[in-house]
Amino acid sequence: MYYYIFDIKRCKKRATIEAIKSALLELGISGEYNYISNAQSAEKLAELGLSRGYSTIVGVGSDDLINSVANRMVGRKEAMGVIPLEISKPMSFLLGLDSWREACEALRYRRIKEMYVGRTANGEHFLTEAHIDTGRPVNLTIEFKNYIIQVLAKNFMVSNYYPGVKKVGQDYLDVVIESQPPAPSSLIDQFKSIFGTKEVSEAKAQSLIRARSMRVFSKKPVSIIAGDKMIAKTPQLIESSDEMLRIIVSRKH
Amino acid sequence: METTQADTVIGVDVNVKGNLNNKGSIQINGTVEGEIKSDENITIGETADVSGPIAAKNILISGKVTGTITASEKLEVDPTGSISGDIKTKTLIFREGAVFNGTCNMNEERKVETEKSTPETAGVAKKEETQKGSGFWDKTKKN
Repeated sequence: MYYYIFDIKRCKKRATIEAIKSALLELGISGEYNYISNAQSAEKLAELGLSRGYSTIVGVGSDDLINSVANRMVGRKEAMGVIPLEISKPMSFLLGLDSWREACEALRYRRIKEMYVGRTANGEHFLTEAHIDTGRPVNLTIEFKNYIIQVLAKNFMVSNYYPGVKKVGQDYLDVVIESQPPAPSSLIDQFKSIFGTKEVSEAKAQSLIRARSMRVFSKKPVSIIAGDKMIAKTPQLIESSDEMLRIIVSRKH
Repeated sequence: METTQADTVIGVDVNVKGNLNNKGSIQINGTVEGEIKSDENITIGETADVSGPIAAKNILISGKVTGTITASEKLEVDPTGSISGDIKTKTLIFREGAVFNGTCNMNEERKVETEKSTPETAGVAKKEETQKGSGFWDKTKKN
């Protein structure tokens, strides 16, 4: 009862697809194979698989595909599986899966982990992290439940799971911000910035905030990216999902 | 990006308006206008500027604070620390160079105890104190 969704762009070699299929066959977990295209997105295919009564929907690809399949799987009793192809390190750590071979065995062993994921107001989910990447600092206002933060941010990341960041609660998101000092306004400030008397260590420029939800505002809309995909634009509500995702992880996880 | 041990960290050049309320430790290196409250520790870094009350178990001040500080266990103020406001704590450590403008209250619990104690017991305590005191001076005089 396995329904597989392949991201054909990540399977550069036709032989990889065939090798995965034969491994699945050998393990006795072959099923229906589908490929995303312009006409059939990963979400549509996942929905189709669920409507056909499959108990496991498996995304074969990278972070973008995994997040897209998760969009339809959060809050469902059916399990989601992953066969990684060029996935990010955080995703690999989260699932405990390094290679597609390992993932095929994990699918057969079927160790299910229930987890909250991050989501944006437009219904896009992310398992690991979402970030703002403009290439230059951007003025952000971030509204939390009891307070507001204003910052000129060099980097802004909201993580549901990130290696090295210890979570305070399963349904909490970790917000990591790297701030940039504002441009010197007075002559004295300019002098100080040139001669480095106002310099601060990189560690002190980092902020870490734990929250279930937040609203992110910027003067001009900026893209929020998860994996390689733009999932939303500011202003945007980013929060932890109300419901859990049932996902198959490594048996050693 | 690196991470620190505190549960919540407000970095340099970050402005916060509102109430920061946390079960875990908080470290402030930026600007905060509002209340900061933690069940654990609060560290106000050298670059921090806080306007508002602070309450936690242990508090370390190395930056500027304008507001009431309540540390249920210990308050430490570094040489770079500056406080404008009242302090309430059990243990207080001020390092040379620290600036403090306000009042300090360290014995509220003891006061409550004295008020609760009966006049008789209070009298005994006073008598014992006086006796101890006189004994010391007696010895000194003899020497």
